[in-house]
Amino acid sequence: MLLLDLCATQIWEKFMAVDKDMPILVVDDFKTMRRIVTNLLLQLGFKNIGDAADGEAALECLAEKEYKLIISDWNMEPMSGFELLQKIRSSEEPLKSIPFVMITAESKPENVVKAKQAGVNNYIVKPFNAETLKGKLKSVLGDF
Amino acid sequence: MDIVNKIGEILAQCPDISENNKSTMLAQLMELFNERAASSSNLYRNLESIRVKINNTKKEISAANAGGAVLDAKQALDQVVSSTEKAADSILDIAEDIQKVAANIESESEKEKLDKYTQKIFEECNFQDLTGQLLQKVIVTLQFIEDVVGDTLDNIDIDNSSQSEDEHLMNGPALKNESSQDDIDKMFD
Repeated sequence: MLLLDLCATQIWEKFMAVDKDMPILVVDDFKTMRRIVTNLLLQLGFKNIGDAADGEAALECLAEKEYKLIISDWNMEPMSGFELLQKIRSSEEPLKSIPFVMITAESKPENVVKAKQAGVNNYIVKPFNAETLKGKLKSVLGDF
Repeated sequence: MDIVNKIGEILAQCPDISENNKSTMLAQLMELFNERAASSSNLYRNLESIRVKINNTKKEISAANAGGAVLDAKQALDQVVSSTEKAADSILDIAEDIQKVAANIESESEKEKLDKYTQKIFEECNFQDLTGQLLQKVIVTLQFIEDVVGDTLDNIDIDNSSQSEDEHLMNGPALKNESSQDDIDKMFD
């Protein structure tokens, strides 16, 4: 019975393991920040990373490819990260449920609450480090 | 003396007020008027000194600009944002090259060390994004101050006796009410 439990656990863990080939979309109006986040994700083992310079460009990317995670800044023009989040959460599945992590310099409590109420899965304040990014992604995607 | 005569004419139409009282009222009104005029003069001088300072700063910025073109504060700060972006891009290029070299190193421990160092470089490059955002807020504020001061001075020029009040001359980047990562994490627990 113990051996069966062990096998079942291993099968379950394999089933639930985070797929590091999952397409991730990084959205930020600063090219440098897109590169930083992309490189940190590559170091964490993720391989399939796309990017967009603002919310509108992100929506175009999402229309062309099924991304499994969005990491987005807040302050962007013409469409902010918050507006992008709202658009996504009011869309049809599977886009509606896509995990969304905000990485932003906006740290006022009312903004965090606003983002949470709009359906953000987690929130990282800039400047951030690789440990924080890893921790927040684990809390959203599962252990890896 | 125009205003004195005008007040005198108005008071003359009030037969119920005694001559003594009219004189007292006139004296008090003149005192109030002189105080307001002095205050208005001060305001004008202060605003004028802000405008002179802004113009002098623009000249200093253009003198410091290697290309010699005249820059305003917005253009100068835009140039700073652009320069820091180029610097950050160069640093990231080098870090990525180091990673490629690290991928070919046999020793796992050395590979891990290099990965950690490049990770640190990526983290430190956060500066460019934050610098850029703060500078943009400063640019918007400076432009706003310049516009409001200019408009206010023009209005004072047209009518020196009126006083312009601008309650929102300074509206700098807000750094209050900021939350730490720990505070924000508690909202998600």
